[in-house]
Amino acid sequence: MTSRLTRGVLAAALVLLLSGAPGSQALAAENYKLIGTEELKTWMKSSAPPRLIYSLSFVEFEEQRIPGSICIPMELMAKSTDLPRSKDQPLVFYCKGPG
Amino acid sequence: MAAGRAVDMGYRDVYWYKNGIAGWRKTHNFVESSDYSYANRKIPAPLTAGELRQKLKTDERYILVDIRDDKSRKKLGSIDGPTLQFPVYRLHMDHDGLPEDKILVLYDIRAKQAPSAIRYLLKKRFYFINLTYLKGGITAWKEAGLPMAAP
Repeated sequence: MTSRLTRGVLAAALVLLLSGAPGSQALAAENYKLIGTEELKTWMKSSAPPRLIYSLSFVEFEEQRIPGSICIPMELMAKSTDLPRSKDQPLVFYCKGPG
Repeated sequence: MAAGRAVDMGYRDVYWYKNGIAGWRKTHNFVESSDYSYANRKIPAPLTAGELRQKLKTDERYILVDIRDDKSRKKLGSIDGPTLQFPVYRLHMDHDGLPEDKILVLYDIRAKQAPSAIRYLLKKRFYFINLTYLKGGITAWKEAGLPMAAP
């Protein structure tokens, strides 16, 4: 039984690995994925970075931001012209973080 | 949550970088600023909830500026006192509407955004003596058991 469980876990890990998506990510509620710092850093340096979006306010974005990101306050997303037309383009959202 | 909203808008490959700027800095990654001197500028000391309550009762120059969004306001309620609503996500567009002849006390949920809003207003046309913020935000006000506005 243990070996069956182990095989199941290994199979799931292999599926994730082969999917081409960034490494360790959990599928959060609401159908978006979580991404860690090193994965994001690597992806931003790649030839096909995601659109990285700060989601609070321009006031805070002016003070400090991750290089390569743009600001689209969440409340203004519906009317923003800075979101890509293609619904398949990867988007990564962030804000200040914990603390 | 912005990532959830993007999913609702039909985007199919959406991520949330939960560590945010704090996590990015922690791993010694470079953080940009439009103006490094402004980002580190000293701001007026905040008022505690008790101090604010006293000022609102005795000094009509003090006026609250609620910088939260509508959703937070409806969910958490508002402080009882003369209030202007200027959500921080629109402050860069709307700040001209703020009065210059009052002492503006900015407040948000936990005083995480108010300092940035203060620094922004100092860069515009406001002076040190016209601005302050509520230490601990409305969370601190409620924890002190102070009056809330009628819904």
